Amino acid sequence: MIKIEHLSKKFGDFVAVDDIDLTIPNGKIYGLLGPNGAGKSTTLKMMTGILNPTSGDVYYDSFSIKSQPLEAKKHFAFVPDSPDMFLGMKGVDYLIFIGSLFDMNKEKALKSAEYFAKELNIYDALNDYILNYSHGMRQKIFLTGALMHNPDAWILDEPLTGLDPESAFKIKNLMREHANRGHVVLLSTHILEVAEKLVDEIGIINKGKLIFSGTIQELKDKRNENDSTLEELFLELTKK
Amino acid sequence: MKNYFLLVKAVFASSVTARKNRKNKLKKGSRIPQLLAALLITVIFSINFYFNIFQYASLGLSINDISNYLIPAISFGILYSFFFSLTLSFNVFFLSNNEAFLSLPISGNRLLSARFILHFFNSFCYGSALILVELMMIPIMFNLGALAIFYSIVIGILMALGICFTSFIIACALFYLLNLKNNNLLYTVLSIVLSLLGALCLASTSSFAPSLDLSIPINDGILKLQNDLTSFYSYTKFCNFLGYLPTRGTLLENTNDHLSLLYLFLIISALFALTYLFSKRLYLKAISKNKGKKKKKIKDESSLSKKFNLLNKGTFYIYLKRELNLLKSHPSLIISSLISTISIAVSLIITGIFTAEGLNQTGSNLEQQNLFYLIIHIIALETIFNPFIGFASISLEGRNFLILKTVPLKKNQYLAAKELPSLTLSTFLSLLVSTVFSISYNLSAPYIIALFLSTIASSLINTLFSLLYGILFARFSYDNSLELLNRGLGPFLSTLTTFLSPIIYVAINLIFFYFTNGLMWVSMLIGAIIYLLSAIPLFLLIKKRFNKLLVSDLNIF
Repeated sequence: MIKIEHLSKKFGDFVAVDDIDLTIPNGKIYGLLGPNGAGKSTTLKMMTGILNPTSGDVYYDSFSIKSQPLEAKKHFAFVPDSPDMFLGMKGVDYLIFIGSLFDMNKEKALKSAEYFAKELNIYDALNDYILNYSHGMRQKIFLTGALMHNPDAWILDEPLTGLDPESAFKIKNLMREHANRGHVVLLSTHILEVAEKLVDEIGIINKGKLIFSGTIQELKDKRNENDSTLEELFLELTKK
Repeated sequence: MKNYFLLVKAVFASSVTARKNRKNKLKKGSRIPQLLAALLITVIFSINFYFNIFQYASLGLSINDISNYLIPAISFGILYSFFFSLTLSFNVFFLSNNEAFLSLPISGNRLLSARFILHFFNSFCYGSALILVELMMIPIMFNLGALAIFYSIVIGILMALGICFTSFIIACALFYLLNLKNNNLLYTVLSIVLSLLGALCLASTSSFAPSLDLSIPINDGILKLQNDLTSFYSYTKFCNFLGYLPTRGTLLENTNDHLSLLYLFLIISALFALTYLFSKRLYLKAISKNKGKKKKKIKDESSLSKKFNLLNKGTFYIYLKRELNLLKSHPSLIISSLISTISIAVSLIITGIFTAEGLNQTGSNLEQQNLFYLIIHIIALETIFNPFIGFASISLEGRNFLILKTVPLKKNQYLAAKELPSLTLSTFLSLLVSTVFSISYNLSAPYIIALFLSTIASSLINTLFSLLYGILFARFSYDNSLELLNRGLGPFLSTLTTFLSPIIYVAINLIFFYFTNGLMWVSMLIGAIIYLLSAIPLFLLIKKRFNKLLVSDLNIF
């Protein structure tokens, strides 16, 4: 379970994220939506330890990201939106490095890495440098690294960007399986059609505030617009 | 003309990010002027140079004896400038990011010339500052007059220009040789042949100095080395010739010397012009060729399994392997650090040997004299081994740091993996120099042990300080890794610490010297132990600051 309590972030006078309260229970795929600059990435970065919250905290099964960062980080895996990192490493070396961080033994790490690498069609490129990968391949290697240690929570920032249709389909299936096993998947996306079909609940952020959290049906009921698509509802909400 | 100037400006900007911070000019990311950085390096070299001249002068040795020291010292100063310029040349011409320019309608000739201006600016700035100070010191210290000083300046400028041109020639030749199959074979061969001809011509100019007495008082070790390297004899003679010129030429004794220098410069200029003409046609093709290698697939699952055996070796080993990969992926930084460190180490060895030889000639009490000069050389030694690799290692993570902030990183092992490469390099070279000194000075066993221990301790402290500064002044956004060494307060402080550290060490030695009945080796041992023990709180401080860095907001993310 992920619990976000009164999470805020200020950059000087500018309030990027304003008092977000949210609980994402186990077994759910939660989609974080919002226009550009709404504060989605800032929220995810605070949740994963990249940015320091100005106030508030995030808990992963009672482990606070602020006071118990080491323990909290063992409970999630984060995949950023731009995977231009570790370019000087080979794909396999990156996976071994991730395995060592999470104290995986050799057999478990190997089996898991092989499985996800094959699922995402990155297996043949493992012996190559990440520098030589295309954007989509880099996305896949980081997804592989994130998934291989089977964390409780997956936090994915625009995970489908740059993926070919087959890999995008597989990732969506993997997300579904992971949630069905009682874990949490949190993803941010701009592709509302994906959000509509895949996620169990959504959170809409606009100008730093969480303006809605719940299921898509709850959103429709709240707006009394059962015939509207998510896209239409989203555009209406974020116009304000 | 205006368009060309804009191109030069764009090339400059793409190689060196210009960030202005008006409030605090020395904060991270801001720019220390090139001249100031060059000045700092020059100051360090000059102090070392001055100490050695002063030693000889205070012993009452003749100018000829001092010439015998000056020849190798100036030669290696030139060599250092040359290797530095060569690294710069490679970086500017062939390792810079050219993607932005390749898609624009810019001819190869214009791009090459714009890059040459950048290379010239950097190379001349660093090279001439160092060489000029070395050459000017001689007429100034021996009161040879204004004309001699002027002549030294002229020689210095010509030498710096020659180095700039020669490094361009060699960089082109090396690059085309490394990429033989992708370039026009004829042009590549011509470049290499020209460079070889140039080297031969430079070596043969030693024949223009028939009046030189190039016999240098050398000990058996150097004599043996010279005999072993007979094929390079003309080269060493050439080095001696270059070093000889400033001392003899300043006395305006031999017209042949002046003509020889001019002849040398003209040859280099002609070779440079020829190489440039060929490179004009090759450059665009060279930088736009496909650099990708054939992809190596995983053969089978057993080969993958073998790679994963690393997990059984432990986390530290994996971190260390990753660190070495990270360093390998920044070749310009590593090459420039390694070349400068090694060339300076060689310079110190040679000057140390000649100092010992000079002391032997005076018949002084070697044990006491040697120890005194030993300390002086320790100062010089530690001054030079600036562990740039350690300083830059955190910043080299770049965007990797984003992921490192989100994972349960084992900080002790991570920091130890950061420290080990620079510590290994620094200790290895320090011990090498110490070994040579031990032999040259015929030290007894206690002094050898104390010397070795003190060099290990000093290397440890210096590299730890560099790592600390690297954390305090970490920058994760840059266009070129060499920026990490040239910009901001961090590199300056790192260099300053390696300069002050041995002075503090010597001060500790001297304090204990008076309490140990003049047994220098005991005071050196105590100093070494103090330094080694200081490493513990220093590492704890490093860890504390690293923790702070891990949780801090970093603007680039």
